[in-house]
Amino acid sequence: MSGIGTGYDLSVSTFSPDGRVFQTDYAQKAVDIGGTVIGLRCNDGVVLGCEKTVVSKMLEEGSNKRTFAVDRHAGLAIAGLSADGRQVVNRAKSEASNYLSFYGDKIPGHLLSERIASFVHVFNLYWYARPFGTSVMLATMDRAGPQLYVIDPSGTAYRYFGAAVGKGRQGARTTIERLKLEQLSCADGVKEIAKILHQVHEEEKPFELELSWICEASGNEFRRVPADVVAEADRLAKAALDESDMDDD
Amino acid sequence: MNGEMRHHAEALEQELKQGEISLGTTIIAASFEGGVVLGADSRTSNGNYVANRVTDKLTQLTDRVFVCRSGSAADTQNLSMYVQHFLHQHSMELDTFVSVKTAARLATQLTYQNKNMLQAGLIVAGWDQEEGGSVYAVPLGGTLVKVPFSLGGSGSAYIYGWCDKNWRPSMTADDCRRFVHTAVSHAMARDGSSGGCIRTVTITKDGCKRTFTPGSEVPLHHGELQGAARTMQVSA
Amino acid sequence: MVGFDFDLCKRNAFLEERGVKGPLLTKTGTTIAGVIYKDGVVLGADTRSTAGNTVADKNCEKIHFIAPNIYCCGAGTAADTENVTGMISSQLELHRYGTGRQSRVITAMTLLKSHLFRYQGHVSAALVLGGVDLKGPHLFTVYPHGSTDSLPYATMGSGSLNAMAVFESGYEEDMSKDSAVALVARAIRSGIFNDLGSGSNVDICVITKDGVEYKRNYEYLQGKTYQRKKPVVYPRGTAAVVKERTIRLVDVDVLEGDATEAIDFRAGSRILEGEGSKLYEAMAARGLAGCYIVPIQKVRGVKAAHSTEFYEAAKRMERCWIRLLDSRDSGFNSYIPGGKDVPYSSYLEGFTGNVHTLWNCVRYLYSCRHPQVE
Repeated sequence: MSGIGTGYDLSVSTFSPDGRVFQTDYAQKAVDIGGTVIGLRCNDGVVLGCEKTVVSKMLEEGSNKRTFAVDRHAGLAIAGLSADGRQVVNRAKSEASNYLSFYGDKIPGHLLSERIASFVHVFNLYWYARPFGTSVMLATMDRAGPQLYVIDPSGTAYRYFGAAVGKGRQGARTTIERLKLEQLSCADGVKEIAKILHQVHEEEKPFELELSWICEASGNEFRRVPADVVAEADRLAKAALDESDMDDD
Repeated sequence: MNGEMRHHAEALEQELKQGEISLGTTIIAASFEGGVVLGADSRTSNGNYVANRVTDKLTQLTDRVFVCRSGSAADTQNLSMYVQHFLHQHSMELDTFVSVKTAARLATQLTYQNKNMLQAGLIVAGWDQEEGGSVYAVPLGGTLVKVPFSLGGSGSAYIYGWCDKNWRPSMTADDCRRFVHTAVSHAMARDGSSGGCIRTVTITKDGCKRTFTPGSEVPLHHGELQGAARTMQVSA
Repeated sequence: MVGFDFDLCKRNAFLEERGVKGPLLTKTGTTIAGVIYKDGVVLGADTRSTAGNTVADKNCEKIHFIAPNIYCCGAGTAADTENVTGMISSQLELHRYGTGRQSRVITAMTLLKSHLFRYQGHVSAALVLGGVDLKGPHLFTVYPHGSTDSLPYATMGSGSLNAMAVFESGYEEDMSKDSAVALVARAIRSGIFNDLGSGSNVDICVITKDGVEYKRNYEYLQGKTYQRKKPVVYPRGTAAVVKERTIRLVDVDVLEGDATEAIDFRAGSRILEGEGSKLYEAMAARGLAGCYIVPIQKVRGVKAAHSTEFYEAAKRMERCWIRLLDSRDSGFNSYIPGGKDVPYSSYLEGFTGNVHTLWNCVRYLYSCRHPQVE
């Protein structure tokens, strides 16, 4: 990015001379500095995990949610500005329920991702609109099996085996690339995500781990991972981290 | 009841709009192991006059879904056109075959949302990967019911008993077609607004197969004669 | 919604309840019919239109043009059938310009039924639509509420029962053209003679992949009892010749033949005479193209607006002439638009067509030579 916008960064309705829309880039930046969010498509389902920095000691645990079910078979994790993300969640919920009432069938993952993407994209088209400072991860389970999508602030949607967005994405991605996802179950996925989030977490500030999944264990519905499973994954992740620290020493 | 309401009720009671062409009809769809059979007579009437004696009341909606139409010819034909249109659009965004349930759901949406404009009793039936052969009844008000078999039209009243007695859950395609064929022939024998020829469609995972039985070959029932008129044929 | 406004329907219903009689619509209580035969489609119609119990038109046209390969018989309210067929015809014409392909009958049928369905039967047009396209011959009936049937033989209108009786007894598959036309004519006749709403004559239209034969008044069963005598034919010499002078029109060279005279309008009455086609060519060569120096009696019924039709007619005749006589008492003054330099009035001897039209033609010729006038 060419440093200062030189006047081309005031609105999404103007391209810069080298073909960028700065407002969209800045929205992406808002995602990049936020907490890490990871999604894995395992062989039996999808797991979504969020790193939530605890901003205050007075914060009650589990109060600022970042994963949401939008239908029984689909759920979202939001990275970046959570207020923006919730708008996307609301829209995704109504898309899913409208589809169900109109066609009498649950919305397929690729259609839901397409519709969310169209919604997000519209905010990149008009001078009076501001793009969402959020990337959302969509986990679905339908006839085509488990699927993972990421929709970024520009309104593009991609399907992934594994994905990471937010502050620690670089490190997370290299680790995910080394995973053998086709051999990984969601139970393992939960542990891997916990491990990676601990690994990429830099500051001394504590963070809360939020995990949701859709797989056999959750009755093929999008659910939060049970607290004991999360706690166990968290414990294992911390142990692994300590071990590797010792190795380093 | 106030005036407005009464007027509304009268409008609903009135079966058809003045001079409207109706499918005083017998239609039926029945599921069997691995598919469905749809059947219908071929009479379209305008008051006492048979406006078309070789009508096709079985309309294709998608590759593996058909609909039986009863009620107003104009309403059901145009309704089917809209359902075809929406299903076609939907199959393009879906990238796969549309399920029978979705086809039926679209039909109800349109019948229910326009219930005070329409006289349309439909039976949507077909085959899909999830449910195999399935039959959905979409009667006048726009409800949607999944049933093993369904009857419709004025002629259906005469054959409910027979159908209840003779329908079995796991028939072969051939047995099921015979069941439908016989049912329609009985209804045609008793109902004045049903008659002409018998058309059936058998839908399985392998495709759709039509049969056509001309009036001269429709089985005779109690009290019917093999008249000269019955030998007159029209190829359709 | 763009289109009709039904607000007044309620008012009319109320007034009718109070005993007010509304105006009568001109309806085509009708017999129309069609069959598919070996090479195409035959459509037929009677020619009576009624307003209540009165015959409004004894020789109307009920077979409407839809596309060069598609025609449509109409029953119901005359205004509705004419307008709805006209609208669909024009939509199809635009569609042809867009696609560069021949119109399909099923397209016409779908457009018609969608339109009629949208108006819920208030557009009262009952149609028999027939035509030949790339898939072969097609025949449909279209009802006012928007339902359609595809049939090998079809009838519509108040006489449909009569016509259908004929079809049911006489129809065969793959008939020849002659027997198909005969059958349809018989069906229509059956309506004309037995149905009160139908009457007068039989129109027939035969459509094949090679073209259309529109047989207007194929059977002229009930001719007019009174023929309107207009324009009045005056016997030769009714108008007195006041003076006569012959001047050669210098600009028009008669290349060959025996045409010798031409006109100078400024000078008064003149004679122009010559062999039709030669004279025409001579004029055409000088940019006086389409000068309607034509066999006047024979061009009756040809609309003057079509210069090519005039030319064709002119070519067919051996001698043509226009004699202009100064005859202030000829009674045709009123036909002649003002023009100072143009002779005040002229009587075209032997002319039985529309004087005004012919006069315009002559004036056109004149203005070509003298553009400063008018």
